[in-house]
Amino acid sequence: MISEIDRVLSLRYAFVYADYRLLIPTTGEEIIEDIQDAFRFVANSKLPGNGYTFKLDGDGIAVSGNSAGGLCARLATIHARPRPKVLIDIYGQGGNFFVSRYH
Amino acid sequence: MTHMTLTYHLRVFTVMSHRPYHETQYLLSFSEYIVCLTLSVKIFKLLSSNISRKEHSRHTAHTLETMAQYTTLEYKKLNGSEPVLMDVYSPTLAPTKDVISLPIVMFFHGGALTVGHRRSYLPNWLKGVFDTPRNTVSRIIYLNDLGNRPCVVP
Repeated sequence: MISEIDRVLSLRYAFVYADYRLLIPTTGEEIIEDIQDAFRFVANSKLPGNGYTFKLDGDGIAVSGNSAGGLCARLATIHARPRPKVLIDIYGQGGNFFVSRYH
Repeated sequence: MTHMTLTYHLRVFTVMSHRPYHETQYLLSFSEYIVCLTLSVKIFKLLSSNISRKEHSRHTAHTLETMAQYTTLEYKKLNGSEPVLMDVYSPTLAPTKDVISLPIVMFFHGGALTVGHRRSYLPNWLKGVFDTPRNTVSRIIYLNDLGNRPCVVP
């Protein structure tokens, strides 16, 4: 079976699957921090390929995620730099996670 | 934590030596205690060395129903010690010493913001779903000009 990752790679894109801290005791702001840091790292680092090294092609960066990852992806388009050119929102969820109950 | 580990080992010794638990609960001989301690340290070292060896080397992601190669990188440190990691999957290209420019797709896992990790919840079951125009659950939003880059989702 060909996965989503293989399809992305076959089009000569790199695919980065990042961890982020999870809610409680982590807050919404800290999740956004992680997303921003992941983007900053990817944009400013030389990344390892198989037998080569690569860097981000200008600002050619897309963001995607499913469910809560869809919300993270959406937040990335607002808060992360370089700003993603494409958002692929896969049944993204979203809510009031800035309300006081999560702080 | 140390107390719990010690109690656990005491229980194990009780079973092994067929002595009633209440008799041996805090009556380990010094040599038995040393054996316990040495064993647990050895096991801990073995486990932790395996974990650190796993990071920063190339792997094949069998669990995500793909044979794609990835490298695990640390993209930040929390409080100066706790690493936050990302897996970098790269396309198969001819080896070269030059630094190649590649567009990147970032992905974040689902899990209600409370569960999951970077190897979980990749939506492989969505393959082909985007082909149907009536699908309104997921959407692709082009925020900017893609240039001449190919579209990932058909």
